[in-house]
Amino acid sequence: MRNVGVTLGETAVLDDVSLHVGQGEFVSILGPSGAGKSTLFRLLTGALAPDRGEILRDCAPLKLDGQTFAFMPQRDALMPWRRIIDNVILGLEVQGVPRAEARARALPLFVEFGLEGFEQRYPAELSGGMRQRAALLRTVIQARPIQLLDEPSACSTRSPAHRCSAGWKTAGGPRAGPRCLSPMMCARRWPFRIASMCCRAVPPA
Amino acid sequence: MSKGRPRPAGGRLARGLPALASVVGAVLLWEIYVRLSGISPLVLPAPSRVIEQMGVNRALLWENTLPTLSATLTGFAFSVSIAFALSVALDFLPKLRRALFPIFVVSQTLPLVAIAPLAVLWFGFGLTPKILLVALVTFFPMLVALVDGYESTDPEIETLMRSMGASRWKVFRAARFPSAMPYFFAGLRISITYAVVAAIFSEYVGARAGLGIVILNAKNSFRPDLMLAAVVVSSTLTLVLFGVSALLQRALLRWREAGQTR
Ligand SMILES: Nc1ncnc2c1ncn2[C@@H]1O[C@H](COP(=O)(O)OP(=O)(O)OP(=O)(O)O)[C@@H](O)[C@H]1O
Ligand SMILES: [Mg+2]
Repeated sequence: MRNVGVTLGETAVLDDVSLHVGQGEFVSILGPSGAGKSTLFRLLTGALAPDRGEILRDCAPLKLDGQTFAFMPQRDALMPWRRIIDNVILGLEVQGVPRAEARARALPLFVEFGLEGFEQRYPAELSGGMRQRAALLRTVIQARPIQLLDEPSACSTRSPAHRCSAGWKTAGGPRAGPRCLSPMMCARRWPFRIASMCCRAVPPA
Repeated sequence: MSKGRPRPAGGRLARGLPALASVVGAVLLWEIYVRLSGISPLVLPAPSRVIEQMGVNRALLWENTLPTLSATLTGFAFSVSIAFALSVALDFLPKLRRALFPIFVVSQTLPLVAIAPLAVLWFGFGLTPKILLVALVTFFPMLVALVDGYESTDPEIETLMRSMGASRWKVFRAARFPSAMPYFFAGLRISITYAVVAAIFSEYVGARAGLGIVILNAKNSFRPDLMLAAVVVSSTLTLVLFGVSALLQRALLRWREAGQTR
């Protein structure tokens, strides 16, 4: 990201933000509430276009083809009408993987994400942390080169954190390692860098 | 958390009891009033007499319920199919929506009293005018329910799906359409009651058979008891259809009950 700026309404939400993430790197973006962390992700997922600056991937303008990022929204955005297993495979389904095959791929990962026994439940029957882990699994299983995790706080509690990080490696496969952009990520096992956004956007008086 | 949520035995019966008690109470008061005042049955028949007439005329009532039921269901099925097809088109083409919505709103302002005789004049005494009138009355509520339902989709779910590279059509099928289902069923329950009323009214202005015709003939021969008997039958029919759509909703939207402890 080079000198990216976003103005929403009257508020300069992002102003001159530059960030470089290398291959295999794990970057945490820290900042006070309202600093613009989620807005960064909205730029990357194409929900928002930058007003200034540019976003590049491998030196070329970022293509918004839905092939690059796996995105975990801040609110889990689970579909209440789908069972957990079918929520988890949503990304694979969009990629064109047949449902049966996608389910078969997802099922073994439920143990590592602390969701075993809840495959056939609806999201409303899960705890907040379980919902977050289901959303994380839905993200990881897409096996995209870059993962964007907006506050995966389910991993901030101790025991599931371990299981999650193990599950993450399993699901990520033997590749060089995912590139992750994550505000507030707890796992400390990867090459780990913190980018901070110190100021909160202040709307003009 | 277990699958079969324990429900206290007869719990539903107990919940329905106050409603049942108030209905029975009202009917009893009516009966007592008629007996004490000695009012003529040509003006106000007692409920016992209405029930008696239902028994005496059960063949007549049954024969005439079937045409009403078929007009209601055919008209309603027609209206729901068109509303659904159109709602999909409108969801993809907002311009079309702005162009057509005013027409649909105007269609809702047409008084049935004027339209029904015209429909009979144009389409005769057969099923066609009934289907059209039932559709006219139920089409717009169903369309609005669907269009509003699509709009109720959680924007985060749509953002998520687009981040996955989903097409507009895939987003519609996987997110917008399921989001609209609770709205659809709410619309269905209300519209089906309108549908029965519309069917009976269109029979009343011109038909060969049907509950509307029974009511018309009973009125013309000064038989309020038979009129009321037909009214009881039509109300029962409406309640049954309402119940069927509620059951359908429960069967198809089981996720809505998930997570509710009761
Ligand atoms: N549509 C919008 N119009 C105007 N301002 C907006 C809009 N969306 C977000 N903002 C503002 O942008 C700023 C950044 O929002 P963002 O959601 O990126 O914060 P965040 O860093 O993710 O905060 P949190 O940690 O609470 O999630 C906030 O001050 C917010 O008020
Ligand atoms: Mg945020």
